[in-house]
Amino acid sequence: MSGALPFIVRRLLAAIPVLLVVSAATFFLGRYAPGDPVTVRTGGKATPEQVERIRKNLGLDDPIPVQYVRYMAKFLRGDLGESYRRQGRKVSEIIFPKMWVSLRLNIVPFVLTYLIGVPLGIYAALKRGRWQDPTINAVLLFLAAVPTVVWMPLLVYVFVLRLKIIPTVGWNGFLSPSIILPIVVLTIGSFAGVTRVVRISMIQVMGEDFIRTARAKGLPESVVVTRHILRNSLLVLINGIIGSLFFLYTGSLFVELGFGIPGIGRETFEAISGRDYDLFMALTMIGAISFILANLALDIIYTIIDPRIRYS
Amino acid sequence: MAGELALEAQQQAERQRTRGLSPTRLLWRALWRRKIARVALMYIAFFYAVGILAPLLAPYSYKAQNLDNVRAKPSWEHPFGTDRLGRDQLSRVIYAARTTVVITVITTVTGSLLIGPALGLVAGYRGGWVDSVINRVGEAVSSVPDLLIIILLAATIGPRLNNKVAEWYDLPVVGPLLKEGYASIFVVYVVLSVTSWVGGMRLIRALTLSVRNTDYVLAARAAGATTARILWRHILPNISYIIILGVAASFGVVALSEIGLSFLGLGVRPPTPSFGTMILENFRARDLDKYPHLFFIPAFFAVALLLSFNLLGDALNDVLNPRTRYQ
Repeated sequence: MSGALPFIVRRLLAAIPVLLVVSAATFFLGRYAPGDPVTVRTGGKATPEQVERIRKNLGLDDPIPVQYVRYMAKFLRGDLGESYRRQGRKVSEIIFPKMWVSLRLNIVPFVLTYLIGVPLGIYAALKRGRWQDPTINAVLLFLAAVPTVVWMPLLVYVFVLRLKIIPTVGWNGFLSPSIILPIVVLTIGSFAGVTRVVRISMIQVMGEDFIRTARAKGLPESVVVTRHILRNSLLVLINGIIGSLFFLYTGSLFVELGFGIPGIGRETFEAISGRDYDLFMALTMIGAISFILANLALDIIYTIIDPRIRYS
Repeated sequence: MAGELALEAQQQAERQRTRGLSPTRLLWRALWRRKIARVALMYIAFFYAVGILAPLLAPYSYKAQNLDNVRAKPSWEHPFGTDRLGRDQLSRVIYAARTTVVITVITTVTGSLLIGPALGLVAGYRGGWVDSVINRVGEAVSSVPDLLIIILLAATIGPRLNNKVAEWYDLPVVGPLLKEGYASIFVVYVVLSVTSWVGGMRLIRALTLSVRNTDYVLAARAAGATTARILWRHILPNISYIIILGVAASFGVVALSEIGLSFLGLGVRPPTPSFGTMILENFRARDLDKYPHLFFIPAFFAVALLLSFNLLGDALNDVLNPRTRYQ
């Protein structure tokens, strides 16, 4: 473990240029976009003098690199700025409640993804060469081929309009029937990937020499599976988590828009199309930072759990 | 054990039969032997043929409105019915296939066939700072979900590009095409290309690294071959089948992204049909209840295409990684 700390520090430092590239790209793209934030802010009703004054107050007349540095300085102090569309409201005031909604929306699909995906992957691998394995694979391929934007109307049609089992869609809190379809849509899309990763990893480990040795020395099959195969093959799940997070982020943007859920994905989309500079900068930056940190954390966990990897 | 011996004998026979065939040929043969892969390939071929021949196949214009006959049920005159503006839905589905065909082909050719492999070759062969810059940018692109980048680009440079393209309307040949709605297809293409090169770049870089120090490359260098010649004549031919695989894999991804982007209203602009906009237009519960066919028919053709790409990718994987095969 002696090498762990310098390794973590090195990885953290390596994340800085990536963050700079992401933040600069976001900032310059945002400023390059057509449409004027002042017009958005005033609804186009201000006189030219007023517009001039607002531009000056917001610092929009300075060169863009200067604006970028000023923005980053504020960002690092935790000041995310103000929304342009909803006057006078702080960005942090807007986004944290939305994040909370998205978190509650995504937590169940995230847990379900692994709760279904891992056992199913193990089962498929153990049933390899029989009918169960290809059948599971075929079903998963089909589920994964249907995009989120098709799942939503499809399920609404069946469960809301025809069978009338679920009354409405939309956001009525965490514990309401209307959260069922969003959860189903998000889970369907992401557990297939986990199942495949687990299956392939299991099969690869099952072919290793040390498994043959374990069987040869007369260990019961249950011990071989749980102690030797599972332990070695479930390591890949740590890498798989980042993929599921990407998937849930993407999926929940569509689900929030499609089902009218006031979460972070919908807010991101609306901020970008509404040219709400500070709002979407904050959303993109927070998103990028979370993903970079998640990647980093998983890397570190992986290195600590797997003794074969050295810190270099 | 007997099974393993039999397997070995089988592999021996396989090697005998396939001696002298290129990896690409072998891949095709192995694929064609699988029934599911064959069905998938046939549907893909059908879809692309329909897309390419759209002007010949479509019974009506995709934008001819008939406000007296909106949201009609399927009939002999309009086999898929008509949409909310009375446009023939069959013709719109055919032209939506064309949109998918154009976008998948040009994006994949650029991202997975040109930019990705080119950067991968250069990064892997040159190494040093070139390698780190390319990798850093790739890392930045892949550190956030593609969709976030795609939305950001589509919303910011999208409108500018659209305006720019409008200036080219008077050009010969290209002008009328752009006027027909291909301007927004061009925007989608640019946006998707930004994210589609990273995977290919990494794969080709790793492969290039692995062949860079093989004897034949060293021999070529000793004989005085230039870097470009070594890359083009010695390294590229040895890894070309991997590039083909990357191309095949990215078709499905690009098709899916286009549908998502158009669904968000950031992709292909009306009146040019796209599966994404067709799904969006018939998405609301009220419309779905009364006119389900307007949603289900286009959705069926789009899903069948995505499923075919998935099945094909799965079959390719199966052929290349026999260890995880399903038999």
